[in-house]
Amino acid sequence: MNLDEYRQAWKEDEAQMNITFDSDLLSKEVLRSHQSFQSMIYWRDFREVGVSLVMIPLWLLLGSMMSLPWTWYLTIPALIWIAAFIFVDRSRHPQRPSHPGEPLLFYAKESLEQTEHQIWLLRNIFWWYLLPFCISIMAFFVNVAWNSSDGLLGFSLLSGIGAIFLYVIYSAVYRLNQTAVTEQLEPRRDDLQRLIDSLERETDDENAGDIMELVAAISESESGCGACSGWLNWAENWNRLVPSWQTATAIILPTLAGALCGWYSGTQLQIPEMGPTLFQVIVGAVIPFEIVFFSICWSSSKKQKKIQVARDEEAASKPEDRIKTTSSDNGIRLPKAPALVILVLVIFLGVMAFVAIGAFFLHMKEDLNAHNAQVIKRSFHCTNRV
Amino acid sequence: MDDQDQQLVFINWLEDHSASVMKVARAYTLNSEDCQDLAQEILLQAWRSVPKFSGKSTAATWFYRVALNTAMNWKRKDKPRRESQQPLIDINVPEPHGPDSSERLLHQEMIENLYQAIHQLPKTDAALVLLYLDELSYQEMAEVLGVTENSIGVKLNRAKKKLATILNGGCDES
Repeated sequence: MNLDEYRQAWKEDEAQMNITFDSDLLSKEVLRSHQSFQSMIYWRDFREVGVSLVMIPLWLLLGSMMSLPWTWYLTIPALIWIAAFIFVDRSRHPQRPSHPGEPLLFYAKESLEQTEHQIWLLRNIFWWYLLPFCISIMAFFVNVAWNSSDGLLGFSLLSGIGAIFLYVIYSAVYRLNQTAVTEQLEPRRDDLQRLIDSLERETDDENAGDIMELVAAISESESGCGACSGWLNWAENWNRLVPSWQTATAIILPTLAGALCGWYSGTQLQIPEMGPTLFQVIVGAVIPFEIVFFSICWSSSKKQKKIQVARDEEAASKPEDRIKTTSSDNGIRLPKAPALVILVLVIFLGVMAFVAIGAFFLHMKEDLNAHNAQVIKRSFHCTNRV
Repeated sequence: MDDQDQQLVFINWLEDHSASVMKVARAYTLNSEDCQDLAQEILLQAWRSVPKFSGKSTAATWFYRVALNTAMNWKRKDKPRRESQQPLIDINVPEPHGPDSSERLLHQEMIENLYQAIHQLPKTDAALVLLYLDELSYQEMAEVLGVTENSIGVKLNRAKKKLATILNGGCDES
């Protein structure tokens, strides 16, 4: 059978297919999709720029409440710089797909440009994101170390601990971003480059046809934002992460146990070097919480990947299950009770972590004041004796 | 172009090309749910593109640009996202009954084999084969893909050879 016969059958099939559509529903769906897309872009920009801006008043509040030294406020210019940088970058390189009526080659070239820019951003993340924070936070650590230590040794020790802490955190962030570049963005860039080469090449090339995806869209593709996807995805992810009370209990129990240990250490052992009781309670709770929570995240992600692979295999093995209408359910999804409890716990611990850090600094300052008062008192006694 | 004009242009266009929407969707997906999902996505993108359609290219060229760009970028939606969308289109394929039912069955089998073969092609070759099956000219194919007309012949021949190999176990197209 030659291709002309298939071509003929193809045309006949088109004639037999009877397709009906509801234009009003389509119009409504377009509007909904458009609004959802706009909302997604807005919240993405808000997340990236807004978070830095929201941190500024919080930083000011903590600084004034705890009467922290001037170096604490150095982080504010860093936050402004990052918000401005992201804002300018997003304005110059909007990460949204173009109008879909363009030729494939145009689309591929545009996606390549976006991918290359994303690679450039992540490759240089140290300069525009990590370094400003490193400088401001290190200045604060050095300042606090200078104020709270007696000699050069104590100062070096405290500064060193701060430097190591920063190095560990920021090198992990840096490595994470570089892994994303090498494992996701660079392969995508290579695929796009191959696709462009194959489309531009005038001559025959047997291997050039093996092109993979065009673009899985650098950020969220316009095509991927039908419905209120962000909210639904978010709720579904939480439900997937904490599907039952059993999982919720597995997170809550070690967290409570850790908090109790912290409380016991703060009230019974009373080691002043470990900070105030609140600080010890929060640190005690956060450590087991993070270990259990991230273990669950990791195992859930592995499980999800397995399910996806199985689903793909099932779909590939049942091509006969084709033109059938799909059922529709328009119920609004919310995180279920166990997921909601853990969500509240995450927010609570996040806020309390800030409060605990503040309490720790306050405690340190009180200790310092008490120490200074003692020194003044002693010198006063000495003067009187003389 | 106001909303009513846009709706009119779109509906007129869809009356001529609705079957092509389903064909592209079916060529780039593996099951009925995904097919519906992609078809709806193509319709949404086509609707959004109507105001930009200036008439410089033919309606078929414009449609295939939208449909293929959407299909190549399409990602399977998560179940909750999919469930939140109402089905916009209803497809009715008549069951093979009556005196010519055996011929119709054979015809359906051919179409099924054709789709299975298209699924095995790389995405760019699948796009070319779809354009070929819908009888677009070389010039229209070049406009859809954004390449020169000269290169289309070579690329299409290669894609057709691959398709024929899959369909006929090595027989070339005559």
